[in-house]
Amino acid sequence: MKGRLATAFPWVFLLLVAGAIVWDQCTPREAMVLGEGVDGTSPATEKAAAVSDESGPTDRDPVCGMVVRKSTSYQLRYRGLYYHFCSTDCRHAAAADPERWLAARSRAPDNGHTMRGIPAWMFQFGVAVVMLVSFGLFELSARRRPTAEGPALAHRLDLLPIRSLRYRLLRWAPLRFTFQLCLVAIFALIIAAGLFGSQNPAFNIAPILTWTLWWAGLIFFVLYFGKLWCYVCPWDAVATWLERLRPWGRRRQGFGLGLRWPTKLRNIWVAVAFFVVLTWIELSQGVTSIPRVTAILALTMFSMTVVGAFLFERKSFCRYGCLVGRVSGLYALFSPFEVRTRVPVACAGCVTQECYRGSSTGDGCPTFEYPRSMERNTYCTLCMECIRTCSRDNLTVYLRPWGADLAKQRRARSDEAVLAIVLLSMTGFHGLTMIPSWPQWLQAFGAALGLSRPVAFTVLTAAIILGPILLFWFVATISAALAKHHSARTLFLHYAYALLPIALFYHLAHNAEHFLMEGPKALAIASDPFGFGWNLFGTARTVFPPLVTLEGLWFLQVLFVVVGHLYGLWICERTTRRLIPDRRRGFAAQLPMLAVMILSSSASLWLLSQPMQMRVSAM
Amino acid sequence: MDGPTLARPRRRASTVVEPQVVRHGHHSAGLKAIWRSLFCAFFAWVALCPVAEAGHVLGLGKYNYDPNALRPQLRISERVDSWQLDVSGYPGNPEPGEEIEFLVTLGHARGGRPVSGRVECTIHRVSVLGQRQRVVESQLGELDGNGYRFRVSLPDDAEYEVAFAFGDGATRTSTLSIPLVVGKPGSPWTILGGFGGGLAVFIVGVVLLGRVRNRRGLAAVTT
Repeated sequence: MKGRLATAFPWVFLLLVAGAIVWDQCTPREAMVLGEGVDGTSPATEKAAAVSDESGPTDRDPVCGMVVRKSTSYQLRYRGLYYHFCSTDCRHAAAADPERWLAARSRAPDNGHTMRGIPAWMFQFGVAVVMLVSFGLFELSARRRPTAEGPALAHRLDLLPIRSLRYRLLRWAPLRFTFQLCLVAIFALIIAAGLFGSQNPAFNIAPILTWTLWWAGLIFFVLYFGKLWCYVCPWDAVATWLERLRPWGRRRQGFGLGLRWPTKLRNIWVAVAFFVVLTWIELSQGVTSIPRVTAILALTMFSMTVVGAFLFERKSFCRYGCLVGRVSGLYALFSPFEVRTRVPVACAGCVTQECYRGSSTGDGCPTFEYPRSMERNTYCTLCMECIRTCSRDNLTVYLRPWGADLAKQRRARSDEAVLAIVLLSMTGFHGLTMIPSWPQWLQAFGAALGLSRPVAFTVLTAAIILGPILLFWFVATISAALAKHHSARTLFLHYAYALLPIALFYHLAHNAEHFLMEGPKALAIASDPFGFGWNLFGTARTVFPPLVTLEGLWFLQVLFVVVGHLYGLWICERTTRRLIPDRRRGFAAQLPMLAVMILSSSASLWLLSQPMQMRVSAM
Repeated sequence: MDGPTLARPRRRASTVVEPQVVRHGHHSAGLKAIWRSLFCAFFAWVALCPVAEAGHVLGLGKYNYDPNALRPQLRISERVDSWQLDVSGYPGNPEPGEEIEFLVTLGHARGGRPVSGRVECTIHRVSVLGQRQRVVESQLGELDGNGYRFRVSLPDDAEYEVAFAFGDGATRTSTLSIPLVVGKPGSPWTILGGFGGGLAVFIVGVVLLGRVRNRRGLAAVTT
């Protein structure tokens, strides 16, 4: 029962989030009336006004500039006119000083939009919940006996129980090609629009498709579908087609050199470096709002994939060098999908090893995984080749609980541990650079040290990467001293994985701003992707409001941070039980880690409470 | 040690169905050096390319830049401290040596009513690595109606930073800096051709290298 509940939880959670969004979009808010009472100032409330179709279903919040749906907005009636707001905070601000905010002259300009962060009470509530669940779980874990993998973790649901489904669907070679072709078309559109379209990000589809829908949406996708992106990756698709000169079918001796990836680079440090460089370029150069550079970055990724495909054997670049693959791979440890053996014992006598070497029906594992002993999702690209090739039909796709790989992880790698911390710090840094005061802080920092802006930015980036790593090392040292069981290095490597859920869910909370609030604008730009004045689908002049109100978004953001924190605590507790069997010492060793996790989640909530300068505010 | 990164079969097969990859264990030092240099050069190029190109484009997010206007113009409306500043620039994307006209309207943040004050303009040229070189000394704007007018011309095709210092003369001075690009970025065909041509040369090089290697391997077997 526990196992089924654990497996079902991600999908129940998804339904809860979807239900909250639907409820948020279907609930009209009461309107506030200002300046019409006896004293002329006391606000009152009335039922929401009927939406006037003459001026369209959307309006712009006069305080923050956000586009809002009139039917679900927070309304204020002032001198007979209705004004629409994203949240009660904006409405209170306008009610407190109507001359400033509601006078036509001073309404927020169309080219600027700063989104309010979660209100103070929500921040305090979030921190209180984080601390409460931390110490509650800590208390509970102290009472429980150390056990092996529990039933909740062991539960799996075979998604391909019917043999004919496995054979017909997965062995139909053009299936993957069809998906890839769609993605390649979108990829080509991004490059064409970025290079040849209008360079105003408000009229070009390349930035919003790349940074708001794909890059932000990828995290949602990984949370539920793991590394399925690799299955349809357009860069890899075109590189493979070029290398083999055919769209599908078994790999033969292609045009590539088939070199082995250098031994010293058989880790993910190269991908970590690429990720840091990409983040630096993205944040310091503002490429998210520059269509041409967005296209250049897409071409760069494509070039790297082609170089990797032609130089190295199988898909070495995907395994060791691809930053998208490595970031999603690490997060995929948490995802609820896995490809594993059906009956592990059945593989014991297998001498043909088609899953690794390939057979007449498919290729061997392109990322050098050995599916019969595979325990983690990190390097599995869900390409399904092993399912196609296995002559014993002993591999399938399972549904499992969230975090199953992390909770039973026995092997810890330094490159992955560092990437986990870098993911946490870089995502936070991303949020930091969107705070409106960031340019002033950066300028003050540069002026204090006598550095130019790019150098000051680079120094800060380095500090934000190294600071958390050093802090975590220091905490691991304290834990090691308390545990007296393992070295600080061992604890650093193992406990770093417990930060992954916190990073992942903060990433979700942050990306929800972009995806839910800015994403719908893509529907308008889709009618005129190059900014040439087209109206292909008749939506070019339509203003699409966000998918959720700001207050609905705040609720979701706090929920994400709390859920991520809970999973982080759970992974941390499982790691402690695995590494330090002695209950008292394990209890002591876990305390410093608990402090780090509370600090991380509180910092996430603080960042979410800050106002954010939105990336496509010019739209 | 992190341990081996490559998952290998624990048991070697007694009969191999079909080897997947033909591995070439022996490469000459020359070939290794060539592909390593190519690899490093390529990655260095792709790493530097976006940084060099990033600033030199039209329509940075901060602008409300309308390229479809009769004469592309630049419009910025910002609140700085207790001031509301409206800046318009003609042309928005000037050519080298062309005169640019800025009109700056200064108002109070509350209400936005125009006020008279003092506005100065200074322009720095910004290099790719961020070094600033002053190219236009501080000049005072001439009052024209509700706004302050500046006329400058910048000789070189480059990226600049225009700084407006303003205030009412009594209180402290506030500053607004905006980026400005003079000249047009290169043709998109150049970028596409660069990437496409580079990849084509690389692929042809790899294919030729593979053939040479195969011939050498065949010759070694025959000998």
